[in-house]
Amino acid sequence: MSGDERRPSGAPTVRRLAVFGTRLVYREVEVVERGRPTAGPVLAVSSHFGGVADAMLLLALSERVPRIVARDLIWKYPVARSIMRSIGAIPVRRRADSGGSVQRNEDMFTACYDALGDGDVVLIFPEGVTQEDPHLAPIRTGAARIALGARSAGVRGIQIEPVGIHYEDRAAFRSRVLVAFGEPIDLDAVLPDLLPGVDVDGEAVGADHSAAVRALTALIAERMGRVGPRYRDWDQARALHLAASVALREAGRVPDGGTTPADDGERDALPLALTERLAARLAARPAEALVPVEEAAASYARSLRDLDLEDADVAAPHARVTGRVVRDLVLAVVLLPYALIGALIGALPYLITQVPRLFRLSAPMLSTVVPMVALLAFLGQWTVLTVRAALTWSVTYGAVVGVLAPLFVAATVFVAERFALLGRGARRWWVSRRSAGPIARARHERADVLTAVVRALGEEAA
Amino acid sequence: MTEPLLRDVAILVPVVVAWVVIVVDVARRRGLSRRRRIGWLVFVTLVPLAMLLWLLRRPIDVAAQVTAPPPAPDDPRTRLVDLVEAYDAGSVDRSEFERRLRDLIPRATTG
Repeated sequence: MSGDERRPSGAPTVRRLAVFGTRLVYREVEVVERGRPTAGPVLAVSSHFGGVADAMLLLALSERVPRIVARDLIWKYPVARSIMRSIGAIPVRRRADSGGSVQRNEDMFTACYDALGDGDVVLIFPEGVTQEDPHLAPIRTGAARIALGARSAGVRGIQIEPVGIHYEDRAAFRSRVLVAFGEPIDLDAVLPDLLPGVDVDGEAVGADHSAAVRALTALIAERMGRVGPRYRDWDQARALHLAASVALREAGRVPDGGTTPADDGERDALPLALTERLAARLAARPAEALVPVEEAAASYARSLRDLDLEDADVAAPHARVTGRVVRDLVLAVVLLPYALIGALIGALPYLITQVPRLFRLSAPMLSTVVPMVALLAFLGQWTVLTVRAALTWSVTYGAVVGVLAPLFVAATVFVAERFALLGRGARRWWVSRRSAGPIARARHERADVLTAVVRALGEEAA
Repeated sequence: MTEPLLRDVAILVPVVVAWVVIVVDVARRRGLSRRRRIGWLVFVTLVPLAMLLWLLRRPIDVAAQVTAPPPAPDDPRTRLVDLVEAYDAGSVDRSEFERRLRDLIPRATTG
């Protein structure tokens, strides 16, 4: 098959790197999906807020290696070029980059038709470039033209899969990410509805049928909008996430006034999927209904920042000592010596991952730079240690070092997280004993946020 | 005499732990034929280098990349989000919505 020719043996290696990078860069990866297509031609259309991180995540989270449609500029760099070749990525020439010539994009379309014809997954970011603001940019027509063109070239059963990627903090190392796969569009099924009165199986409905391209682009934008973020700006995104967290923690509060189920000293974080879904519903409210929510959330956020607390601390100040906490702490103490070795090994690469933050890079830029620097630093350190051990002692010792070094670093992460939880518990206990002053004010502000959220939710969505 | 012994034990313990972790991984990992699985089990037990090779060559488990569990459907927090989405979709009317919202968030004062 022609798909195999264009995808040489490099794909598993790059995918392994993507899997390793995902594990390394993110503390938690959440996925929501509504029936992902597992076979047949798929055109994945993804939001693009995270540069290389977006591609890395989707490579790690897909059973089939997607053929990524990417800017041809990437092929200009030596190492990047061989990586792109090895995963069978498809170069696209952007008008802005090439001074108007779009001739070469014929090749891009042909390559996409072939890939879909082979039953592959083609991944495209229809917004074009990585976005700064937390809402989808107007999407380009490329995705619709690829799908329609492939169909008119005889490919049937194309599914268009919308993907939304939500970063907790795209500039950070070890934060959380949510990947939402939306309901796929069955192209053959929707086309007659998109073009009433048109014989959709006639040759004419292809990549240059402008009515079809317009209608399908609108449908793709609508489906991407359902899984992607849609906030006015980052201030609003932060405010509505905090407001949604407050409401969710209240809903999760057990009747006796105790802690939320997930807050029993084990995990502080609400599932990103829930926060994101509720914040999205809030964002759908009319702007005037949101003003009180945003104002209340902003002043509550200021108080939290001044107190160096998080909403979870104010919400559920009773840190309970469960059997699990005790077990984890015992394990952490047992692992401590190895965690210290891991800290020695991991210190240098970890510091290197923090270097990009010293430069004033934009968040979209950091979402590309941080994963690449982290991969290079940790893999480099690991390779040097393993090879040096093998050369100094023996191949067996090299293998032992190669297996143990990541294990020790993992032990460090485990121990550090347990101790951080312990510190958090102590802080909560301290918070729970304060009934006056700034903490009391924060509690009042939190109640105001809750009232504002409940009121806004009662409004009709715009 | 005791110091080299201590050192050997300090190295041996994590190696054994790593071996156990890897054996469990080989035994459980999806996408491996029975013959290969047995081959790997023998290989990682006899040759330490095989443990390293396993980590570099093992089949990728996409499901294992998801490290946070999805929220349970009967979790009250999930029910809150479901309720708001149902209200926005028009399948729950306003009075029903406000009644169920009060059940989920008793502390809130509805306007």
